[in-house]
Amino acid sequence: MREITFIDAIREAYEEEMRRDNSVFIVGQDVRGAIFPHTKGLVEEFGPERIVDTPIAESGMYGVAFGAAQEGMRPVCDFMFGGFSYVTFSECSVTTGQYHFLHGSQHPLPLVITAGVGTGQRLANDHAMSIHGTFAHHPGIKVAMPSTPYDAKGMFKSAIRDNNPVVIPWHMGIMMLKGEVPELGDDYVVPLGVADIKREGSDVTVLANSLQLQHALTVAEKLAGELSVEVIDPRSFVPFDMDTLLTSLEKTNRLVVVDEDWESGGFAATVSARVMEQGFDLLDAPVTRVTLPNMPVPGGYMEEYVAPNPERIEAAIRAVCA
Amino acid sequence: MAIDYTMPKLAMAMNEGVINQWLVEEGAYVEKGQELATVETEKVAYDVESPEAGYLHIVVAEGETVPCETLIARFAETEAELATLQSAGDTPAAVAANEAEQAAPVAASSTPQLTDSSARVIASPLARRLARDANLNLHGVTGTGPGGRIVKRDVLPLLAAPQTSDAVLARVPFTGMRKTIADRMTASLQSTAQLSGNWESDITAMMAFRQEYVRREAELGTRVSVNALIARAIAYAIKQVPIANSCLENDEIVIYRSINLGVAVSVPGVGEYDSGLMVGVVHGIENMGLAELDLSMKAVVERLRTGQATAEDTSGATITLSSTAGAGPPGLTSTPVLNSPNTALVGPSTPIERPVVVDGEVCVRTLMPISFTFDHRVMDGEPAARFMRALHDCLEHPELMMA
Repeated sequence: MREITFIDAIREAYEEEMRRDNSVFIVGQDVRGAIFPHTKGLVEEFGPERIVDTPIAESGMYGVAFGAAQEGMRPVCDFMFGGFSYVTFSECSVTTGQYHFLHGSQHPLPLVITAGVGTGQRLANDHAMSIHGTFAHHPGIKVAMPSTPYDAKGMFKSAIRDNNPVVIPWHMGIMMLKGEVPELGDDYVVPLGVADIKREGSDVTVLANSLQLQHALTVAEKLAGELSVEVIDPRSFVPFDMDTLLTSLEKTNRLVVVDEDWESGGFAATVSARVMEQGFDLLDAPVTRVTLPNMPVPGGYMEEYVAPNPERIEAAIRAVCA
Repeated sequence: MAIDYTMPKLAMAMNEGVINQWLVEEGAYVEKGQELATVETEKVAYDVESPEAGYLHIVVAEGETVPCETLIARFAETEAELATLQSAGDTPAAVAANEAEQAAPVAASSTPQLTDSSARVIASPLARRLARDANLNLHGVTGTGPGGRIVKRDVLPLLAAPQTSDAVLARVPFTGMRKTIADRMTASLQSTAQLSGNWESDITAMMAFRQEYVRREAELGTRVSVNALIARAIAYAIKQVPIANSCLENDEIVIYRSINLGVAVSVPGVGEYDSGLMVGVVHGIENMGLAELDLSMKAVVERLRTGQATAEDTSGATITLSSTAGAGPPGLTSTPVLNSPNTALVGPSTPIERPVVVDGEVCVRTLMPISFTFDHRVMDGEPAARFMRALHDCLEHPELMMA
């Protein structure tokens, strides 16, 4: 199979979906100029009416996407950096999530929110934070994040075809990660709401996503022979595939949740609580989280002292296996 | 001057103890009376209180088993002295050398205060579930997880092997109470010269005598049991033959003034097919009336069966009563195993109606089969025979119970 980068996989998803469905369009800031290469060259093929640049005015930009979706279009709204979505947070979380409910389930809102997120680029603060946990807190929105080029293409296509609002950020730390992806024109999708066991193991389960998934796989490989580490990629946070996780815990009885988000009130906390509620008797050790401490993500070289990394993941694995 | 602290002898039958946990860190200052460590014997775990104040220097680490009176820690008066102790590094050899000169005064000064401890079992949810499913009690299971937590790997070896064969009904782990019983029975049979005598006593009069008590159950506050009467008869026989109330301890036969009656009590074992056995102890029965004796015996048995037993309830027996009455077939003769280090054990069983010649006439009487097991190292045949005769006499003539 051919190998392409993670960011190119997203672009291929855009291209194929825009060719397949004329109602799909992209709205954002500098998407024509392609600050990130997932929109590179799109304006040449699809024209300025479907690759829409807006001023730096997120509320207005998101208003375009929201209104278009109300009218049956399938917009992809690119916030460039995840933290910027909070400028119009009331609209894109509360209003968006509750729209379908408030209209008696009569009016779907098929839109996609995306943005680059995460550490690894030393960009700091709102340029380096995660947003999946915050969006997952709000009912009515699907939240997912791909970890490999294959998943990126398949999940973006699923997100665009979904009739619900889908928040699907992508992690800048794996932007150039290469991986196998089917040939162009092979129209596969990766369904939302299905986790993926990226590596099988029997001693401990590590739940990790995006850049942290890569770290978890590195650690699993390092510990091979000493500890058998099962690495699960949730892929979707809402809906979350609890069955895959509980099935894994039946075997391993130990869980480390790696989540590149702040410790307080994050997705890792939600998973820990659900495992305690639904799988208490499966646990042979307390669920352990590896997260960002509750402080702003610092810029430059300081980033690595805050972000989860292979060393911290290994320490957590050893702690639950003690 | 540093004060030594030795493994306390918490019960007469305690020969060694395990330091489950030091409750105070090395080098920390402890107050007199502060809880110092959890010490476990074959039967019970105790929290021992510090007999002294000072800076604690730990000599014997957690998890180690040492004989009673072995140096396990020292109390330093000052931090400087603590540093000296720590740098000296007590070795077993140094400890042995110390022991000779210091053992006697130390034993007296460091008799610990006992506090009742029903230690909380720390186990993972999974370990608890596995134990629950297998009807296993996690008390006494050693945890190897962080902080001594009992985790899956500690429970798995205790579980019955998967029932792959129809030939196996169940597997009972040969650990815990089962192992303790096995060790004690084997040690008793292998290290003593025990033998049993069997006879039958006519208890027709005693049963009529008991009826007077049973009829007054409300006034007495208890339905006086046959066991209470047998206990009184044992006390009568001991008065005639005191050496039956003794223990062989080290190089001495210790004959006791007070009668602490050990009572063998069956308790649940592990799972459906195992049984358990404990010996409860009623102290000082020679001073008790029948009702008080009966109430005391029942209280000890109740505490044993509900896991509420105190140290006193399980230690210090000077003679043992092991009855199979009601459980065994009428007329059963048996040779019960001695409860070491006791010299003697009385083993009554289920009475049987027999034709008996009384005053030249054949009549039906109630006869109770009874055994007397004794350690011939301590007690010869002549005193043993006299003891059996005295016991028989009292059982057949219950008015002697007042003697």
